[in-house]
Amino acid sequence: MAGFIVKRLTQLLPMLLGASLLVFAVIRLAPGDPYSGLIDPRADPAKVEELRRRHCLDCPMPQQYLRWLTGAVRGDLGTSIRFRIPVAELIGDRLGPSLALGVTSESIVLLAGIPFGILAAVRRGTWVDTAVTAVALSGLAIPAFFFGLLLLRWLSLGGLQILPSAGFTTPGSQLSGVPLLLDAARHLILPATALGVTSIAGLMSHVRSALLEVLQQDYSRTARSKGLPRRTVTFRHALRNALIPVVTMIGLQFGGLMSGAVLTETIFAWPGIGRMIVDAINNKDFPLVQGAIMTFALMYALVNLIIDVTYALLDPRLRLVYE
Amino acid sequence: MAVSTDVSKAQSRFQRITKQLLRNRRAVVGGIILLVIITMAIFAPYAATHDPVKQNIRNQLKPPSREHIFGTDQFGRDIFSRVVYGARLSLRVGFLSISFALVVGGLLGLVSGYFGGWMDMIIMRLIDILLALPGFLLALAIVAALGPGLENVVMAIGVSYVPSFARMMRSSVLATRELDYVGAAQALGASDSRIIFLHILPNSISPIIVLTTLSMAGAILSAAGLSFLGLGAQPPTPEWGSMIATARPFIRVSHWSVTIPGLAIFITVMCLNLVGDGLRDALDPRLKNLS
Repeated sequence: MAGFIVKRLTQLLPMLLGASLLVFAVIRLAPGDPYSGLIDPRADPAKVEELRRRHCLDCPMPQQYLRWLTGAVRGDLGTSIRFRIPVAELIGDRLGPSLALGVTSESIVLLAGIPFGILAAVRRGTWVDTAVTAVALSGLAIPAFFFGLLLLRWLSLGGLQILPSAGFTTPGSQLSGVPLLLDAARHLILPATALGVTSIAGLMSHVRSALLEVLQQDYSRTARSKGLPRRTVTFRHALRNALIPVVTMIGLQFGGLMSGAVLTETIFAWPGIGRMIVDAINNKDFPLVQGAIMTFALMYALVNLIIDVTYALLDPRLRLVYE
Repeated sequence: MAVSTDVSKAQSRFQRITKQLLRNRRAVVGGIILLVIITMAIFAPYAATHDPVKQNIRNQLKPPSREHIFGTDQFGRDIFSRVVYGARLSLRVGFLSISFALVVGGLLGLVSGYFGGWMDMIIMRLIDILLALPGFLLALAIVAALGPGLENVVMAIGVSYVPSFARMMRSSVLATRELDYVGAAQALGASDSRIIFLHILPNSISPIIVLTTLSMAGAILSAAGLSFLGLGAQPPTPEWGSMIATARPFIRVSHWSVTIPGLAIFITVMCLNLVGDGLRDALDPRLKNLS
């Protein structure tokens, strides 16, 4: 097992290097440089040149990349052009709300996706199965930002009006302790649900078909024919094996969750990294865009690492491949 | 002689798949609705009841009526006509970006899988780099760099789908390459391009067809998302995502200008998914008994 983890860890480095290269190259595709749009046309050209030289914007590309990379490794992602604050600091401020949203959303995904997937498989062919399948098909087709707006319109701004529409906590409130947590939780429900809708749908249908497949295997039939009750076979024998690939599914969906965060945070005015990326793009604040996307790439790589290790822990066959 | 049996076999396979597909009720319904949407997009000037960009300030944010069947937006424009014209854009973006991914990714995968060795190494490492970011974020970063606009969105989404096509093509080629008939063709002295295009490609095409259909659904969703963020089509272009974005501030007064384009995306994507799923079931009989 240790061998597997070490092998997998060594893959992390080239992957992150690749990601940094990609992010850097893509952002530098942009015409001009980070300063060209911001400079006062009346500014002294000599001063502009001096600024460019100071930030090494006239250096050759590989040198610029190395400069950025060595900084990034030490946690220095440059300075935001708009806010004139270190990018790392801005990201640090936004990390908490983004993580809160992501964790809540993933919990909703698991709590809704797995039980309903099981239910559909167990009640295969009944109206329950039909309903779950219909919900899953719809969830996979609805744009998450549109679903978020529908929730907003019918549960917050109009219709039932039971939940807050925007922000992390109620602005100007003097709450602390438990009431503050409850306030934050109320603010979390709508964005977390909107963010999770695609993943819930994907997980439901995945669990359903995985469980159906395992229930058709010989060992399930053997367990049934030796007289075990259906419930025992489903939950003791089949479910355990069916849920192994689900771990991989969750890893894959994490990427979708991060992508969705960009849209969902924008709709619900959520103070997270996703909305910051959109704002930074609109402000042409390239150091910030670069840093924030790199942060997402790092999180993505780490989550996939954790998923792979978990998978290997659950399924000994995979470990053998590496050892 | 060999050629004629080949053709008859191909036809019978095609017929079998078509039959299988037509028996799938969901896929048939999805396909029919999709055809209607495509027809409306092609004949948009005839299908639309109003000019999609003509404003009428005195008639803004109206609910559906006899005159405007889906109501009007914040500038008094007819939502139905805008949605009809929007279908052109969404379908075009989906089609163009996935065509790009199919050609580029498909070729990369083909070369990588067939020739192997250092070519395979280099191509697959490049693909790994592209996979370091989730697809939508990659597209977002590319559009951020290229600047807003529908052409850039096509490009960005196209690039973000290259890895899945390259990987699928590669594994499909790897599986096909080992088969006896390829070895036989090689023994007969057939050239690489002949083997690739005549023997390997036709036999690794079915997973690619399924991936193309399902990816188109994903591409339409991504394009709508990017336009919603203001990075795709610019107003007053009647693109579905940007229609939702511009109508969003008025959602409380009148939700129609958000709901209708949203439903348009939803239905189009759903139909593409249904057809894609149906194709998968028909092309890969192993999965048939599960659905």
